[in-house]
Amino acid sequence: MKESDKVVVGLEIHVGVTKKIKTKLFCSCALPEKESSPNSNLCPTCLGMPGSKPVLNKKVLEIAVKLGLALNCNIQKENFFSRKTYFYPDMAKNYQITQYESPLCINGHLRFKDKVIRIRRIHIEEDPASIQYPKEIDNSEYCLLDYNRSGIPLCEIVTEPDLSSAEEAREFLEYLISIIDYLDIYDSKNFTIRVDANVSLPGTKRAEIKNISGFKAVEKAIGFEVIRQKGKLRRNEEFRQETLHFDKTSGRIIVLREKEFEEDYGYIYDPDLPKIIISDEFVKKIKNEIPELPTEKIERLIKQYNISEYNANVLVSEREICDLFEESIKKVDKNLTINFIAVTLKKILNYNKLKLKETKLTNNNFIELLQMIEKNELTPRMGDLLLRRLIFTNKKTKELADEMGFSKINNFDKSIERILKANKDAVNDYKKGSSKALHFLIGQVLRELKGRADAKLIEKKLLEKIK
Amino acid sequence: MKIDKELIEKVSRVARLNLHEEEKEGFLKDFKDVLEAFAKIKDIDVSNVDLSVHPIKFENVLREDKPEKSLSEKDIFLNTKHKEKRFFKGPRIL
Amino acid sequence: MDAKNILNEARSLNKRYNFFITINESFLEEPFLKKASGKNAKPSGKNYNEKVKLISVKDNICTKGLRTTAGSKILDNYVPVFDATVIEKIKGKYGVVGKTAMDEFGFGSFSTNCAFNVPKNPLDETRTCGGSSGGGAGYTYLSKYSDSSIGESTGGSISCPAAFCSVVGITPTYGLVSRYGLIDYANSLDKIGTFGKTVKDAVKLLNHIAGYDKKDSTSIKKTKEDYEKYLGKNSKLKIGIIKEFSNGEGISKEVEKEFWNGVKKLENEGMNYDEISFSLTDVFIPTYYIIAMSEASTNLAKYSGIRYGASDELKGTFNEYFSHVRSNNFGKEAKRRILLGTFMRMAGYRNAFYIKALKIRSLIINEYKKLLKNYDVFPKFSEIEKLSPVEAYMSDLLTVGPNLAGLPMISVPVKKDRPIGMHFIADHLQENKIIQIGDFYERIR
Repeated sequence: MKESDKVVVGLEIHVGVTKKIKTKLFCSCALPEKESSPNSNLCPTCLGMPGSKPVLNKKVLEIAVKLGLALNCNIQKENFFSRKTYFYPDMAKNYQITQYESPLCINGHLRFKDKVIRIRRIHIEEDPASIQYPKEIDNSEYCLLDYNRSGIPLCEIVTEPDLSSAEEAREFLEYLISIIDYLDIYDSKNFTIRVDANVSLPGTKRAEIKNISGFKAVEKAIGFEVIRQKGKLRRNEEFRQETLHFDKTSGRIIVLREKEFEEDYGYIYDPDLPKIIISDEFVKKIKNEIPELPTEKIERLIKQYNISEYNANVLVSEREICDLFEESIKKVDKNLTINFIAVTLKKILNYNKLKLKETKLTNNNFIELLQMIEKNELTPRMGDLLLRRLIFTNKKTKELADEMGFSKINNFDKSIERILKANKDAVNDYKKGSSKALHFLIGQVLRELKGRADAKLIEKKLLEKIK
Repeated sequence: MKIDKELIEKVSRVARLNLHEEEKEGFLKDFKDVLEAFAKIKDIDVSNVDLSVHPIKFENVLREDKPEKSLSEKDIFLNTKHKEKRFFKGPRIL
Repeated sequence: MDAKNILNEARSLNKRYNFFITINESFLEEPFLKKASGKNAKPSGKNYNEKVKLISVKDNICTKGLRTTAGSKILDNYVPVFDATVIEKIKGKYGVVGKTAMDEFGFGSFSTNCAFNVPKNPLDETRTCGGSSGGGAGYTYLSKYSDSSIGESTGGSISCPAAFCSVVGITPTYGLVSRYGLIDYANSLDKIGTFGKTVKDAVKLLNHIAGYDKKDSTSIKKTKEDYEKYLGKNSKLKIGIIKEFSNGEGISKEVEKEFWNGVKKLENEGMNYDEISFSLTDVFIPTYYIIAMSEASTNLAKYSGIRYGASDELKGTFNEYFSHVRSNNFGKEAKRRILLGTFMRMAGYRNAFYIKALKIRSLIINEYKKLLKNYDVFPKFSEIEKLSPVEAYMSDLLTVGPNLAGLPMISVPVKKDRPIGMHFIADHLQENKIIQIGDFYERIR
C-alpha cells in the first residue's frame, strides 16, 4: 500500500437512546415524534429559560451503562456532568451539559472482522436543537430553530482512530448499529444517528466532518474528504485544523470555520447537578439485563444447531431474524427453515430495503408457511411468492394462499393424459432414452398447472402412464 | 502567564463580547489587579485534596421517567420577536 | 385596610428610594386579595384579605406574568412563563407587591451595579443599601405594610444589605430553599433567604419557603421543620469569635466598638465565647470569586438575543449577532465577571484557578466544620462605605467564607435602627441555632 493511502479515521457517534424512555434527559418533556409540530415539546429547562434547572432521567443512566457493557467498557464509579460552553444558534443555554471529567464508560472495544476497534469513551449528553435553513447553510439570511430536539438524551460513542477507509467506517457503523438494535435502545423511526468523522492521511492535519447522518453519507463524506486532502497534498497546500460540513444533497464539503484559535470550551462541573455514584450492584443488575449479543450468538448457533458459520452470520444480522429461526425449528425441519430464512426471506428483505422488524411478518405466519411446504400443500416456489406478500399484510398465511389461488393440486391425471397425447414425439424420445424429453414433459404439465403441483409427483405419475 | 491586550482580546472573543479600545485597556488593568490579588491561592497546598463542587454532599439525584405537560405555544414564544411559523428565527451560520 | 394604600406606599417609597425595579401594578387583581369566603368577594382594594401578608421579592426570582430583570438591561422586558418554587410556596399566604432592586445578576455588594435606578439607604439617603439584595432590605425597613422580603445571597447579598438597612437577614443552609426559578449567578453558592423587620418576621417567611423540591437537584431532602419554635428560647450557646475578623483590621472603630458591645451583652446573659483562629481567611476572597465568576460566565452565555431578553434585527453571522446583543446589554461589572470567569476556566489556566479554588473550598468547608464541632455559632460584624474592583471584591471578606461553605447565617442589627449587623453563623442545617441566638440577641440588645 502506498503511504498516501493510509487513511486514518476515528468516529464520534451520537445515538439518541430514546427507544425505551418517555421523557428528555434533564426535564420531564415528552419525547417528540417525527410528526410533532416544531417547538411543541418544550419546558423552561429544555428552552434554557433563566431560572430553570436540570434533573437527570434515571432510565438514561441504566441505558448508557448497558451500552457501555455491551461494548466491553469499564463503567466508572464516580460520575460528574460538565458544562461545555460554546456559542451556536442551536444551543438552548450556549453550554451543553455533557460528561468531560469522567465519561461513564471508558476503554472498551469491539471485534470487527479481523480487527479490534477500540472504544475510547461513551458518555451521556443532551442534544441541541435542530437547525433548518430557508436555503442552504452557506447562503441563508437566517436559520430556523426547532428546540424539540433540545434535551434529547444522547450517548456519544468515541472510537480510537482505528478505522482505515471510508468503506470500513460504514461497515463498522452497520455492525455497531446491529449491536445497538440488540440492546433495543435506539428508536430509528424518530431519530437519526449522527456521526462526526475525524479524517487524516500521513502528512495532513486531522479534519473533522460534523453532523453526518446516514451511514452511506458517512462513507461518501469520508471518501470526499480523503480526495480533498490528497489534492491538497499534491498541490502542496498548507493544512490547518478544519471543521467541515458535509452537504448531503449537493455532496459538497463546506469548510465551516478555519479556526484561528481552538474553540475554548472552558469546562466546569455543572453546579446544578450532583455527582452520580454507580454501584457494583447496579452494574451487575444491568449486566443481567443485556441480551445475548451477535458474537456470542453466532458461536452458540453453530454449536447448538450444527449450522455453517455463513448461515449463523446471516441469522444474527438482525435479532428478530434469529428469533424467527429459533422459533421455527421447534416445529419445522431445520434445513428447510435455514434455506427459507437465509436465502428466500433475506432476498425479499434486501429487495425491499427493509428490516424484518419493519415488516408485518409474524412468527406464526412464517411457521405456517413452512409447515404447508412440509406437508406438500405448497411448492417452495409458491412459498417464495406468498412470502413476498406476507411481509406486507396482516392476513393469515392460509387465507392469503387461498386468495392467491395457491392451493396445491394433487390430482392432475387428466392433465398428464392431455400432455402425453399432445407430445407423442417426446414420449418416443424418452422411450429411446432421452432424459431431456422427460424434463420437457414435466415442464409442460407444470405450465398447465401454473406451477401448483410438485415436480417430483408429476414425474412419478408421468412414468406410471408411459409404462 | 502573560496578561496583555492579546489575552483580553482572546477572552472577549471566546465570551462573545465586543470591546472597544478603552474597555480593553480598562479590563486589562482589572485583570492585572485582580489576578495579582488572587495570586495568594498559589501558596495553598492542595495535594491530596478532593474538590468540592458543592458545599454540601449531594449524590444520585435522579428523576423518574414520567412525562409532564409542555408549555403552550403562546408561552414558548412570549418573549421573542424572532418567530416564523412555529420556528424561532436565529442568525445565519456563515 | 385598603389594598390600594399598599400600592400607593410602594409607589411613593419607590419614587424617593428606588427600592423596586417593577411594582406589581396588577396587585389589586391578585386572587389572594379576595376574602377567603363571602359572596361579595371581589378583587377590589377594599376586600383586602387580612390573613395575607405582603412581601417584596428580589428581582432575580421568576414570577409568572410579572417582569423579572435580575437587574439587567439584557432582561429588561423579560416576563417569566413560570413561577419559582418559592413563589409557588407562598401563594395564598403572601402577596407580591413588587420586584426589588439589585446589582445586575447579583454582581455587587452595594446595589450600585444595577441597570436601573440605584436604591438609597432608608437611614441615610446619601448612602447605599448594601447589596446585592439592596432594594428588599430597604423596603422592609421602611414599609408600614410589609414586614418581610425574599432575598438571595451568593457571597453575602443578604447579610450585607440587612446590616446596611438595619433589618434582619437570614441566609439558610445551601439547598434548604429551592433554587428552581432563581436566575443563576453562581449555582453552587446561590441561596434564597429572607429579610424581616424582626427575627420573627424573617423566620415566618423562611418557614413558608424552606423545604425539599424535586425540581432542584441540589435541594436537601429532609423533613419539614417549624423554625418558629426556636423563638423565645434562652438556651445557652457556645460562641466562637474568629480572630482574623475581629482584630479590627480594615474595620471602622465604630463598628468594632458596637460589635464588642454586642458580644459583652451576650456574655452578661451567660453565653461564653472563645476567640479562635481560622487559617484560611486570606484566600476566602479569591476562592469565592474564582468559583462565582467561573460559574457566572457560563450562566450568562444563554443571553444571546433569540428566545428571550434583549434582541435586535438578525444581522450578521451568529458570532457577530451574539456579540452585538451581549456587548450592548450587559453592564460593565457583568462584562468584567464574564471575562474573568471565562479566563479562569480556559484551557491552560483552568487548573491554576478554577480547579484549585474548588479544592481550597474543600479545605475551607472542613475547617468550618471542625471549628463548629466545638462552637455553636460564630458572630462577625457585617457592615460598611467608589472602590476599585479589587477593593469592592475585598469588602466581601466577612461574608464569603460561610457562603462558600454553604453555612446558615443571620444578621441582626446591633441596635434598633443602627446600620451595623451582628452576624451569627452555624453548621449546616443548624438554622435552629442562628434563629435562637438571633432572636435572643434581638431581645437583649
